Amino acid sequence: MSLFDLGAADLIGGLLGLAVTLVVFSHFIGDNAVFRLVLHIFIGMSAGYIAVVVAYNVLWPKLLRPVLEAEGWELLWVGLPLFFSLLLFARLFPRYSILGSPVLAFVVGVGAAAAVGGAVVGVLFPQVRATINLFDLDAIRQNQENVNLALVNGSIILVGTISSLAYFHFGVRGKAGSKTQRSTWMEWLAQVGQGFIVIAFGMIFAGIYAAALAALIERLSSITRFIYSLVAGF
Amino acid sequence: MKSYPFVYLLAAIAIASGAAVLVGYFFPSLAGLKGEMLDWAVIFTAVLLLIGVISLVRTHWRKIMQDQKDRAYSLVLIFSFTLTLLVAAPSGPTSKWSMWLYENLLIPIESSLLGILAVFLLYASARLFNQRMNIYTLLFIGTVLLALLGWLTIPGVDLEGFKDARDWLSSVWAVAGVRGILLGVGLGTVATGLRILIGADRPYGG
Amino acid sequence: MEIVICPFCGKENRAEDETCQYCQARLKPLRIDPESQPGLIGQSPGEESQVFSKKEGKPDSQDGLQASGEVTPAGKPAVSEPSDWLTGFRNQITTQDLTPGPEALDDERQPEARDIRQDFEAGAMLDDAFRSLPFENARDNEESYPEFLPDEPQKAEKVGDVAADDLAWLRELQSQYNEVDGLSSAASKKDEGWLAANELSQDSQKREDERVPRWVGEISAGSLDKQDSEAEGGLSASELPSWLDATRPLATPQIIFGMPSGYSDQVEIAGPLAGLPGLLPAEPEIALGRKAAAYPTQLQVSETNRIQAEIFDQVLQSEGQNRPLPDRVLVSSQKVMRMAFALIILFAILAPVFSLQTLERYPAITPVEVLSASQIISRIGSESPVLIAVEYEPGFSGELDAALAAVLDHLMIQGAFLVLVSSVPSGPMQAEHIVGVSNQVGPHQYINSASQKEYINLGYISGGLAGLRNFAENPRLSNPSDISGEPAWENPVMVNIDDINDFSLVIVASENHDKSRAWIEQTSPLLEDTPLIYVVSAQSEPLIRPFFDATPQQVQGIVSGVIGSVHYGATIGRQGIAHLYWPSFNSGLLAAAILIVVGGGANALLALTASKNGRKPGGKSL
Repeated sequence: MSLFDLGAADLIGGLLGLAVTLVVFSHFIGDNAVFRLVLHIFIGMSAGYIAVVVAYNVLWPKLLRPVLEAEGWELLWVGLPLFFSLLLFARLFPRYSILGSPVLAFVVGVGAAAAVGGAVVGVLFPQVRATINLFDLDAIRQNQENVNLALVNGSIILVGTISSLAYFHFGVRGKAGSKTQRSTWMEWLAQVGQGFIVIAFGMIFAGIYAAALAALIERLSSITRFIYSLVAGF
Repeated sequence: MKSYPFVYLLAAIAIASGAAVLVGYFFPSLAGLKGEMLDWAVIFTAVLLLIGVISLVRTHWRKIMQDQKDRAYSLVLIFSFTLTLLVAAPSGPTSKWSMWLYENLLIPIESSLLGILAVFLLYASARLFNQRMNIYTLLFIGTVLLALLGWLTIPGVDLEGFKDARDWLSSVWAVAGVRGILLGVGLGTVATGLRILIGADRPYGG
Repeated sequence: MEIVICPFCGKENRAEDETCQYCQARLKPLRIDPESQPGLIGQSPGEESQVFSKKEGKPDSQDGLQASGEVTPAGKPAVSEPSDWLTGFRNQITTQDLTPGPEALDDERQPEARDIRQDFEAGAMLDDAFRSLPFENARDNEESYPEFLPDEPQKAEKVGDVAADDLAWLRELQSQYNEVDGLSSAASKKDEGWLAANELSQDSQKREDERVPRWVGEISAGSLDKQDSEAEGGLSASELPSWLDATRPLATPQIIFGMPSGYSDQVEIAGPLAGLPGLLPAEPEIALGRKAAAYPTQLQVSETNRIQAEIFDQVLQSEGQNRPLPDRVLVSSQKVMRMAFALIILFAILAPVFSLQTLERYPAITPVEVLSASQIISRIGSESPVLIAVEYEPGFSGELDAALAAVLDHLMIQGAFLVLVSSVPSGPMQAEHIVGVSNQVGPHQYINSASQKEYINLGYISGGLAGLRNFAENPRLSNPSDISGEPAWENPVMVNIDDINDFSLVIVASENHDKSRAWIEQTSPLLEDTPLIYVVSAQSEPLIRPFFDATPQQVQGIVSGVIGSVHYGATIGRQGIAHLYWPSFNSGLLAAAILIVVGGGANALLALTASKNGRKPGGKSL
């Protein structure tokens, strides 16, 4: 793509992208005022997009339009969310924030129930079942896997799962006159679990670096493409 | 100061709404009520998000009006917020000019912020031995190296062993640790949610 | 003008004043001429006491005691005329042998059984003393006769007949007081100034000795102490019980109980009891100007407390002190190393771009999770509704655009109908962005217009977990319109969709583990036949892997990051954005491995060296 192929909007957009990228990269040298300026631009834009998306996607189709289109008794029913939403706006004023507390309580209750239900049905039961099924010989044979190797792997996963859970167990019973600490066998189990967790975190750390590297490559490639297009255009 | 009856009322609302939704998870006959309550919660959450944005703008506006320190940054924030509203609001957030703003400012800024993280992560991992020298540090760095080498392809160099080791580490040892974390997170979520549903925790101001 | 301080009220008076003009106390002690007739104790010879003179109706100021503070020449005390009732006392005493002889005293008073103090307190001594006084017959003056004196008529000798031995009893009494109280004789010596003026003759002294009971003379201070200690059951006066000694403060204050020190040797110089020592003061003790008891001001602290207090004091003092700021280093070693790391990484990334020696060899073996995802998508038919949840932030566009674009490219080739949704506020814009990117990758152009809809953007799902559950159960109610406000469910492809299980495939693209887990929690129980595929960042892959490895599977396929995308492209035989990034990505990975090994090894060496030298780790580093 040459410079002439670039429209004015693309040219300005490319220059803007180049400028903000270089400003952010200046953070290698140290924190500076221009870097903070760009950060505040980012925050302002994000807040603006949130407001627009919420208004377009939730407030208008689910709150305001039903009230405008409703008739009769239906208006009372669809007007209730609007009334409660207006109460929520009272949270902006400390003196009247108490008016929005009942609505907040409702939201918290529903959110808590959704979290509990999802955790039990979506994570706890399936993961425990998955750990048990590691030793399902029929399934192993069906997948045409080496049974011995599968059992060894399953044992490692079982030990790792239990010991990782033990690592986060900090409940101890205090005894008078003695130092409050976990029992010896629990301590050893936690040490083993810590090893498994360290391995998991090492893999995650490598993944974070890979993601950051990909972002850096994308930015540099965008800059080089833009500069190349500018240079090629001349 | 809130009175006790009001506190009890708030707790009753939270418990009743939570119980209705939770029962609806296990009894499909109550799915209709659950659906309505979920829908209302969705609306109220969006309103709360909007209130958060308004609060952010109000805070920075006050900074400007009160001539506080760093009010220049607040001015820039208000300006970019207003510009985004003016560009995206009339035609929608996925309109042409809104997407132009998104692709030429928001994506470059965020991607650059993540990009510089690569250097800081490497530098921190290189200094790790100086900060803390124990078996877990060795295990951590060893896992990172194995993961990186398992992804590499170098002409003329056979790294299949590293790939197999990385796959085994990822599918067995890392899974074991993560599964324990997942179960712990799940148990914690259940405990925290139940505390709210029985009224022991009242984050809504009771 | 000379000023004299009144010993009683402490007020200032003129030097020439005899009595205090505020409290009327004598300012100058009376003098007694030993050669003249001794009168009452404290009375100058020839003078009357002020009190008695008042009762007699005589002027008090003129006939009072001699006001001169000077000690009269020895042997010449001035003796005033005694009052009538005192004269009567004297007469009475002289008519009787008031003082029994030593033999009688021996018979009547056994020193072993009686305490000299108890005798004094009982007034026996006083009676004897008064009996020996050369008073006039008090009966002659009944109205002024003090009641405390005995009723027996006492014949008093004439004043002139009372020799110096009359004062000898006084001296004797005084010495006894001094011995009993253990007081120094300094005070007694001080008072003997005026007493010396009335020095008795040897004859009178001898007579005085005869009159003083022998048992009185035999008693000494030591014997009294011994009696006291014997009376207390074996403990000496200086020894305290251990429990009592433990309660004693470190510095015993000079607290005086009972009679203040010095009282026993102070002689009354005014009033009817003038001349008598050891009397209780007429004025309340509180009015007496005496030095207050000295209480210790030193805080009683232990050594540990003192050290801790000193440390605390040093900390407080250092609070206000300006500590010199360390010199600001413009370029620190850490900054230099960070810049070096950055330059190395940038060089590794840019080298393939500028066609330097590259490592352009793609990974060969496709992981099973990528293969599974590819196989699932290959089975998607044309116009099949595929739900794509764009759950990643704009910052991860570099990595996830590459990964999702490969999957969307495959879907677009299959002709699937894409339904885009997001629970992230920036998700609707990101979804539009990725469709545009995917359109650039392959020979397809997905359009969302009024005339042609190949995909639909349902926009934002609010409410977090509750919103996801609401969408999964009833997507029509959750998002009735698309992001632009147009009705979304009137499309022929969308008409038959009532819940999430009605989609042919659900793809979740996320960099955040929490969001990924939220979709699994809320949607996987409802997904019976519909497969679930995750396009995730490389950082989330280990956290999603347990759901893929579970039996039964909750996630049927995973495409993670740039590497996953490269593998995916290999499965469908297409190259996408990830293949453009791969050489730089590979170089970056190699550079990272080298930097970790070299940098980590150098820092490890520094740490080992520091520990050998006794320094703590975490100090000097590269």
